[in-house]
Amino acid sequence: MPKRSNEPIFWSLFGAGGVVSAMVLPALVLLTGLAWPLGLMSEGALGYERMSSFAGSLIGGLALFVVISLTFWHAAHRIAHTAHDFGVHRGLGVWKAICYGAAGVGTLWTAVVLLMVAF
Amino acid sequence: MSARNTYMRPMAGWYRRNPRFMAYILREGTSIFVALYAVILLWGLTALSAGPESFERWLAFLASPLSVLLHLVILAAAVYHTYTWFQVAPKATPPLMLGTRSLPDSAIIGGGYAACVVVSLVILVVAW
Repeated sequence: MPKRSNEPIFWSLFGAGGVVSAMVLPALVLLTGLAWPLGLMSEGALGYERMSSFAGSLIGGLALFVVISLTFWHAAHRIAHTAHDFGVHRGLGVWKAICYGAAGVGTLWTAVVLLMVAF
Repeated sequence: MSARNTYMRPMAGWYRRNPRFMAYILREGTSIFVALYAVILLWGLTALSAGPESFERWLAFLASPLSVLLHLVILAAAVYHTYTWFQVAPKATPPLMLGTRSLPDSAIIGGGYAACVVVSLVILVVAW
């Protein structure tokens, strides 16, 4: 049997992550990185109580898992290819192993932490 | 047999040769800041699972001037990623036929932006 490429799997994760991050990241960064720190929202909007009930809920937890893990897979694909483009010629396989490995660890980590918050 | 001595065109600084290459690097470079933000979110979730005190430390980091500055850069990268992502979307979308004509590129790009605006408004209204 011919050796089949694993590229479709990683490209699908890259594409899905690209769509999800394009849709939600500007709003999320605006919320957590600028609006709340600059005092434009109420103090409790990002408070422990509100955030644990959101992250611990089924919908909130799933949303966070999808956004964080797919964003990792999206960025991993681009970083690996860009590193290669910058002249690490024999290294695309190595860069892919490092970047996809990191995305895999990030995905597992996100799942474990969300389960710890929920239970 | 001696080793081949094929001419290899030098590639150093290739991205400076054409403005399109620079735009490409800028687009791909957004992924570093996008990944950084995912790490910051995951750090926050990890702190959340560890208890109120560690979550307070994460919130204190968010409120620091350094973090606000960093998030300004991340926001610019995220917005540029959104802009470029939907610009190239027609090239990655299978042709959608309307009768005998395919859906125009502008409809796919515009649909993407419209969906992003709706999703962003929902997130902002629910979270605020």
